[in-house]
Amino acid sequence: MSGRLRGDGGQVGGIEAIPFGLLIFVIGSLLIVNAWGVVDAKFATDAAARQAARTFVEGEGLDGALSAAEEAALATISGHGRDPSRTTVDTVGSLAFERCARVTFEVSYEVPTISLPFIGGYGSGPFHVRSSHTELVDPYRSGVPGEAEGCP
Amino acid sequence: MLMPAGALIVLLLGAIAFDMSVVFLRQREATSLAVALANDIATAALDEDHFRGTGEYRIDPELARTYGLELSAASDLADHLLTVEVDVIAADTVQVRLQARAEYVFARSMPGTDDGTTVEASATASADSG
Repeated sequence: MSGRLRGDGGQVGGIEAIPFGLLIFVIGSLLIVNAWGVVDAKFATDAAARQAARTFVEGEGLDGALSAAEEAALATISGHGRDPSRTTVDTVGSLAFERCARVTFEVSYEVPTISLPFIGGYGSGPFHVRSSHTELVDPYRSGVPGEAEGCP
Repeated sequence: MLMPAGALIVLLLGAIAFDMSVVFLRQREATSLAVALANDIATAALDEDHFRGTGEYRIDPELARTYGLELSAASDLADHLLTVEVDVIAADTVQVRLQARAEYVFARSMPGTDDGTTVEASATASADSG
């Protein structure tokens, strides 16, 4: 069985470090990919919450403005290449469409995570990435119910 | 021994890129908040007594600052805000400048590096009739 490239006479000490290095590389890459998924989702939810709040305060009537805001948020999520079915759009606090009303929209997105050897997961279940954005309904715009006198 | 070292260097570069994207995200959040604040304050902080007396649109600087602090405290970014400055730069124009803290994720674990950095954002809004 002796012959060219058959023996281990020239093998260097420490060659076992190569698979170990590969393992570190793969696990580290997965860790960064996992974390990037969360940051990327945060970009999307941030933009969606902003669009929802702006669409609402520029809308016409409570129901119309609310549905338009939800549509705008989901369209923004979709525009970022994310899945709208994993998205939740909620309002925070009381919702009113009147002059000076402060409206807050919260957009939540579910990001699946991978459980990594050595490092483990990031806790149980998927991440829920949340962003919220607050805007005031313009106190002096026409077509909005209520009186600007009541503004704080 | 070069293989693990090379892998660690690649991961280090990935971690730096990730932390920079976190800073960019915070920058975008700060800009978004500054725009929203300026837009809200430009109309909400109208000096109503002056307007009713003269018909001239003028923003009340004190009211503008109060709104700036109130609205920024209610924002998503409130815990990371360092400063919020609201200046009335013309009768109907307001400028909002703010500073926010961005915390690094990976760089914190490296000795000799900062825990985070400060990002700045500003926005200007004018009230327009129509």
